[in-house]
Amino acid sequence: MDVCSDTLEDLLGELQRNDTPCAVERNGELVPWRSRSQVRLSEGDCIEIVTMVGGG
Amino acid sequence: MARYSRQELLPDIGLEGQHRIASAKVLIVGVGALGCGAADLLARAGVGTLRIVDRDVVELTNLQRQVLFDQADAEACRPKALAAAERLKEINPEIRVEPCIEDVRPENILSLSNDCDLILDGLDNFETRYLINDVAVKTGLPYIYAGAIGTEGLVMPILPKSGGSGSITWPESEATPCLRCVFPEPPSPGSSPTCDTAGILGPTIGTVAAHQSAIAMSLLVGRLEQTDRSLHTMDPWNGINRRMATGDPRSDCPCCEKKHFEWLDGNRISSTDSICGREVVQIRPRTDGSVDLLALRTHLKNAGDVRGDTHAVQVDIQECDVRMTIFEDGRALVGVSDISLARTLYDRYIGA
Repeated sequence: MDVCSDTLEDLLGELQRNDTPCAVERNGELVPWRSRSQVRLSEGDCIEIVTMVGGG
Repeated sequence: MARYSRQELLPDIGLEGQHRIASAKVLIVGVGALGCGAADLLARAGVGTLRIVDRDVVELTNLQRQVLFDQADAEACRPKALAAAERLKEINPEIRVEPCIEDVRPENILSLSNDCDLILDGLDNFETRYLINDVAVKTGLPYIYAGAIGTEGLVMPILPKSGGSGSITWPESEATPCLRCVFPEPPSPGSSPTCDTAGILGPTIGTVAAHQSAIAMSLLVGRLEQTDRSLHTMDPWNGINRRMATGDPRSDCPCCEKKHFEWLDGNRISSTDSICGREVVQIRPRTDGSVDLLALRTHLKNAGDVRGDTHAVQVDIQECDVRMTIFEDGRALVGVSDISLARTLYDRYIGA
């Protein structure tokens, strides 16, 4: 997927996922919430976004 | 015992593991779809005591996925905790089942969890999950978070840093992040779809309930290091099964590091008032943010007639003929006289 964001936080904004609580994994590791604005994205990064679900 | 012979054959369980399972006491909070599925598996596995808590009654719309209930339960509007307990005793008369018809609140949760070894998540809302997370961290009980919506479900076991107050103990090096380490804040009311607005697939429930039950059994027999402790996403409809490694507890977590139990202390629990002279209950959530009324209108259009503007949304829920009005700050007026029913409907249709 082609994205234009530089940081993880910007990416969540670009994907309109920054207003719902979600866990974000970058290359197999969970990125702490507070680090999202500092994590710079590189070509080929594998990003997984998991949104919390409340049903059951 | 012949009943458990096939699982005793498994080298990881054996006679000793079966004995541990038989001496365990598990608290299942919420016996809706996930709670039914997990209770069914754990009763069959011979978990000595199951304490099942639920505030709701069985309805026809539950039967597609809530495996402990039948047509007669729905027609009689039987309390879920009682109907489930009766069915579980038929499945396995050797175990003890303790039904509790209660709304899980800060005032009663500690006595409900007090003598248990593990807490399983069968809930339908975020608020009570954060309350359970507080309890797990404060008392050192393992808590297996699970949730499902649409065709997708999540499971994540939580082994708090405070390390094991029941029969399951672990060193701090084996502790996992808590719910707030991974999801520091719950979604604001109305921002997420619920099973009643977005639907839920029966087989997804089966998959998620089986996964959380396997983790529970694995912990009960003492397979601490081998137990899968990732955040697991599963979607059997689309063939998706992913694990996310959650690493260590966060050093800045408000709950498991700083020990701020905001839900257990009551600071983040929604309050309710009956409005005098009207069959209306007002629910006020304790959230900082405002509700995205536009998103909420979209979610609610499957539930009934929706109208409103940028300040309030009103819906006439078709299924139960109840009018609900939701304001920008998350406050809601629910057209029923019973407070517990009002909370149930709020969690179902708004989601909190």
